[in-house]
Amino acid sequence: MQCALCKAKKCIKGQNCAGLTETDIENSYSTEDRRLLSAAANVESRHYMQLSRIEESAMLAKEMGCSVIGLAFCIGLANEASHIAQYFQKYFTVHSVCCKICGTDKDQLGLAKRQADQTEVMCNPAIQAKVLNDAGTELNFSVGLCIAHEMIFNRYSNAPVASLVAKDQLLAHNPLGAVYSANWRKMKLGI
Amino acid sequence: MKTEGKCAMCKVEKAICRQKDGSHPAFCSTVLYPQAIEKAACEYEKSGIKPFAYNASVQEAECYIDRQAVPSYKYPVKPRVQEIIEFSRKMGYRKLGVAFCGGLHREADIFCKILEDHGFEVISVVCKVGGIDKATIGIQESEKVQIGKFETMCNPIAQAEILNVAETDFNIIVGLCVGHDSLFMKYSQAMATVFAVKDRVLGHNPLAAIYNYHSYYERFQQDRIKKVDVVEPS
Repeated sequence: MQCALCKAKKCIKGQNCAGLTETDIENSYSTEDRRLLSAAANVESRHYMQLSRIEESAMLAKEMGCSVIGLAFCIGLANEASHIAQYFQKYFTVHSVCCKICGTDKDQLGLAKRQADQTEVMCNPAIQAKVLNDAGTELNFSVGLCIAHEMIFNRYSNAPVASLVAKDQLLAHNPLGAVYSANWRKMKLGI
Repeated sequence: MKTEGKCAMCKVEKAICRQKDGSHPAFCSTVLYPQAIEKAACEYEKSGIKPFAYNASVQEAECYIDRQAVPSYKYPVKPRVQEIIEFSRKMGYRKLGVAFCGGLHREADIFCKILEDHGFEVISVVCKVGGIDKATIGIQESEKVQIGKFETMCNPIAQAEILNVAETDFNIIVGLCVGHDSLFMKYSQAMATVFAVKDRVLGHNPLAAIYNYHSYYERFQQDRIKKVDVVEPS
């Protein structure tokens, strides 16, 4: 499948390129998935183009009937996470976990360091997930976790996860800057 | 109807403005306005302009590293804040003026600290300087941001005059409103540049609406600006 390179995008008019039956498609979604889909459709249909991602996330959680929310954030975005937590606390009980939780040195798992002779604490995404699982969060949001750490966090989180922020250390957390800017697109990405 | 310049519509690959043997469309500004281009060339020769134009172009090139590499590639490495510092140093400026919007007070604070940490004397002036009632320029109650409350006018002319009195070498705008920035630039005696442009909705990144012109901001494809209500989770 190469949808990204398709110019027609006839799926939006109802074309089924994947060759799946309606039953196949319906069976692909669990009861929990359907609750999420329903809540997402409600939020989109009622508030299309009215909400920022942060507001939309809170709205979705409300629509899902959640009362306990988890935030897994990167220490590099601690200030941002603080603002987000304060906003979420207006509506929910919020549990937030920093990526450096437990203060485990990278040596313990034999991880490469930026400076080999210095103490460098590893990011601990599995523990971020465990803490939020133990707290019984109903939805989790990640704030700027590193690429691989986000993958691990998503794998171990019991609650559904959405990314509030995608980290981009160079482009101030705007990864699409590399696509929007002709400088980056042509000269660095070579496309 | 007279053909006017429409460079933004030009799709010519090897354009005459980039190479001498290039081609051009009918609405090519290079072809249509030879006198203006000639006049501009004379302006660059003026003593107050020449070093400024020269250093601006040197700064432009220096944003890219490895320019000697063959085959060549462009690899930009300097954010605008760095370019402003380096350009000001090239020009020998010591005293910088910062005209900022009160809505970007924290940003201006950090920006000015960076300039000071890099050896410049910085004079900063907020848009509300003077504390003058908006009614002074004819603003009615219904035309205020918060109807029924006392509101101070943005005072870009005063911002400029204060920096003129302080005899700043170079002035930098941080997030002034549309139009207020124009007045500031008109009255600023020193050359002025823009560090940040205000966009209250798009995180001060007005191009975001352009980048999403074919998707989420398609409403600008027609002449209609939709009213957006504030919605909160209940």
